[in-house]
Amino acid sequence: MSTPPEPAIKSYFFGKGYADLRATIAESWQRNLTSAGEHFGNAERLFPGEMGDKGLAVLHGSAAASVVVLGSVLFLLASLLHAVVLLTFFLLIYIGFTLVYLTERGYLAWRRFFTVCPDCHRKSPLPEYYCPRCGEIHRRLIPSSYGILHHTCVCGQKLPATFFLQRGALKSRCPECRSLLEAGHTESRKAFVPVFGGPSVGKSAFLFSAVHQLIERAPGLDFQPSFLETRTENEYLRVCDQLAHGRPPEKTQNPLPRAFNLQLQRSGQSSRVLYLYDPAGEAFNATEGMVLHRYEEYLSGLIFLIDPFTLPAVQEQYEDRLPGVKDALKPSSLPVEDAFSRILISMEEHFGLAPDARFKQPVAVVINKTDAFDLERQIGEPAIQARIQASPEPVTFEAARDQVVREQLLRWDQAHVVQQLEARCARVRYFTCSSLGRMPDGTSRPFEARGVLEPLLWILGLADSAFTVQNKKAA
Amino acid sequence: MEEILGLVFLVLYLAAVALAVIALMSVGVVLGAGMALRNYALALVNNIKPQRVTT
Repeated sequence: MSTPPEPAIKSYFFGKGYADLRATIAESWQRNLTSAGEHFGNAERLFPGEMGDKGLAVLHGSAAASVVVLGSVLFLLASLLHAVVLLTFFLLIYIGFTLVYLTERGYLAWRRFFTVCPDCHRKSPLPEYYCPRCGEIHRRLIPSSYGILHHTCVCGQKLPATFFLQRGALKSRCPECRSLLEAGHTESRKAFVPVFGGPSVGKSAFLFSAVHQLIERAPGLDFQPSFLETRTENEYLRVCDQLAHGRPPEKTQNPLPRAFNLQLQRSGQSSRVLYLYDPAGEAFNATEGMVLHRYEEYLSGLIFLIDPFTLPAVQEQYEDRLPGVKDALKPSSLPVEDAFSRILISMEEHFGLAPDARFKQPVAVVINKTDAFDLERQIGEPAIQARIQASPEPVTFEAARDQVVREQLLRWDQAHVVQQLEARCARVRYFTCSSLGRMPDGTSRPFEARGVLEPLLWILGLADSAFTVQNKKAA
Repeated sequence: MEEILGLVFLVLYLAAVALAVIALMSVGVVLGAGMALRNYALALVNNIKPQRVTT
């Protein structure tokens, strides 16, 4: 498929110069023929006359022959010189834009900058840019035959053609779905973390609570948080307001919603942009397929959220108290093993994971809703602290948490899930959280999430050393 | 003697004519070359135009 031409003026030495050369040769040849014809005509007319006329006829005849012979030699030499000049500039410009382009590509690769659309999730090396004057779309605003450092739009507007000249300040859009993009969607280091889980496991509450806690803790981590887009900020503020008034976030309807972007800027460093995804649990199979397929090259890790109240052992354990709070707890309808099997199938089908291979990206297994009943005591901080105290060998908080949660999953008859997780995923860590902090009770008391940031920071730390250092500092 | 003189005059006359023809041809060649140069220069001026914005 041929790409449409750029709405820009091509360098003279890459197009028009050669057309001009051809036109010059054609016109000078035509002029030579006309001049020769005139002189031959004069010679023919004068030759039969007197001596003087004969002499003039000789003059005209030799002039005509000279125009043809020397004219041809002359235009051959001049055309050669012309072509050499054109080719020299062509070569210089070619070398110039190739060097600038390669420098830019190398720099962007070194900084790990690339474009990812938060809407269609496509990764592309470059977005399409709008001319700020006429709105024309420039699909390849890079150092090229249209200009080394700048392209000139057909409207006459000069556009920066490289990252180094603030090209990112131009309005841009996704080459695939044409959604508007911000500079941060291209010029930033990115981390991509989807939150998977069945319906009603609390993914939306988890995501917004994690973002809320990250924003609160970001200054302490030397990061300045900001939103790339007003609509994301508005959505965040709306959900935070709901949570602050004791209302859980609405159910996600879109199987593959727009990524939730949060920008984290540290002075002297390139900004980090998080792409967090909260796909609807119902369209689980298709959704993961899409997500994993799209992010095959750049997934940072995934959070697998488990609703303990989908587990028969937990339902049995709390069977006397569960009916009274079922509406508030909203146990997920999808069994945990089914949810994880679907993730695995999707990985194999869409992520290129071989049936006997291990998923290399970190997987945070997070048991949600630990605010219910006495789950916090069983697998929350008290249980972890007790494990640390009881351990004969020094054990870190994270290791103790892994042990406690893993053992509890085994006690809840989830050995097959644990076994599958550990067999198929190279890096698994277990967490617990309460994405609302308490059960919804119809009051307007604010929800205060617990333990939602740790899984995210663990994945981010493995994906980007900037977060590792900060994690250590925070610890 | 007269025959010899006549031959000399004929040779001189032919030489003069030949020289005149050569001179005229040389002028013609220079004229033609100049014309070819002018034609190329005019073609160059007519056709080499800088890139222009079209709108």
